[in-house]
Amino acid sequence: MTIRVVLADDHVLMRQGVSQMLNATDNISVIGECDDGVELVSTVVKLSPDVILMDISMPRMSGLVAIDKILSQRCDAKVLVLSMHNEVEYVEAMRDAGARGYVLKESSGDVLVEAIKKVAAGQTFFPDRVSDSQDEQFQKHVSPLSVLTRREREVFFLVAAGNTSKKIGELLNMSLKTAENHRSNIYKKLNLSSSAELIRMAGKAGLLE
Amino acid sequence: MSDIEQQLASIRALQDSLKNRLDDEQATLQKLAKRLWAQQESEKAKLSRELHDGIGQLLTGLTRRLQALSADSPELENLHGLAEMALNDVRQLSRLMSPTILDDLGLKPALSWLCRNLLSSEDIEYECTIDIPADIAKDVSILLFRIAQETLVNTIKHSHASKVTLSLAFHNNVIRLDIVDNGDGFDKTTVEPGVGLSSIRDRAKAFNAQLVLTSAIGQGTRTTVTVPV
Repeated sequence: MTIRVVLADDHVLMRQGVSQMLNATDNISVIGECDDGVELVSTVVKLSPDVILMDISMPRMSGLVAIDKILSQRCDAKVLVLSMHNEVEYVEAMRDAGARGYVLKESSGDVLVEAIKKVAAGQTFFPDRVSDSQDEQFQKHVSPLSVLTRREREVFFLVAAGNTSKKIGELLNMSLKTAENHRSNIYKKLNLSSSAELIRMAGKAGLLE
Repeated sequence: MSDIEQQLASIRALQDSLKNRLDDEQATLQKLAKRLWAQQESEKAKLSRELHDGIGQLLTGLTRRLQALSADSPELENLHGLAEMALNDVRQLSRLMSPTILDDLGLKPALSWLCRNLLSSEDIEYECTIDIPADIAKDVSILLFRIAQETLVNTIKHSHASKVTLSLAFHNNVIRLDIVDNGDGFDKTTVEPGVGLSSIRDRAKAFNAQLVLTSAIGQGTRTTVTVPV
């Protein structure tokens, strides 16, 4: 199955280079290219790509706002960020916003292809090390919820507040099945087996109001 | 109405109109000050881009060439190290001059980044607690970022502190920034404020922000800024 990619970057040369490289790769096809965040949001809605590959610093609408708009329209969208910034703050902000992966522009083509494949398959792809010396800080500031996507975090707090999957589905405007999927993903990622355990964990981590 | 009452009324009217004129002029001055700061920021952004794209690119090329050649010469290996240091310095300078992270991600990540960049290389322990809404106006964000930057640079230069805490909170439409260090402190009556501090004071005034420095010898320093938004 071919992975359909929409690519957004305001640097034309960069975008063309990436696009050519990806189109020359088996099973990946770039079906849309955008100059800025506004165009990206409308293209994503129109084309429903499998993976959205996007830069952060873009004119008209920044990447951070664009991710938010995309996810509010399609909560299952798979966003992979392609950025020149190797600072931990960027990676964390993008993960918190709901991106599934983060690749540095200085990475090799192989790494980018691997990231696209992983993200398309529903996995995440984030750098394990962000600029050597900052490793320690990186560890220090990680919240237990950082492994969850934005949507999963919303579900997490609703479970912690004692809601059933049915109620969560109604509140977040999703089907019962989707809500249950999110719930089981959260349990898996946080190594929990019941809502009681989740609530206990949330309490310990100071996440209950 | 008696004569005196009439005279009083006309004096009051005159006072009111004078007060209005004063308010108007103050507002104009404030607008002008804000515009000047915005211009300064845009100049800095331009310079920062030139540093990054111009000298930065040249140094990147130089570093790569030296790296390729350095395999069989310790002398060139040293030069490669020096070139790399120069490249990193230029990059950091360019980013501090115009923090793109503020545009890209907003104030909260930008302040965490600032603390980490300035303090972790200085062996100063720090704690950064930020709890503000995401949609702070851009000019207020820049103001707070620049005040934090100036304060932290002063702390590093003068205080000999081993610990700094930065906290940013939002309450009743006021943003409050507190930066506290455990360093030497200073006597406010004998130390003249430097250019940097005077500049952020002026800048705070343009936003009706209050900037208060509390310090005493041996007691550390606390900088508090409150900005109505």
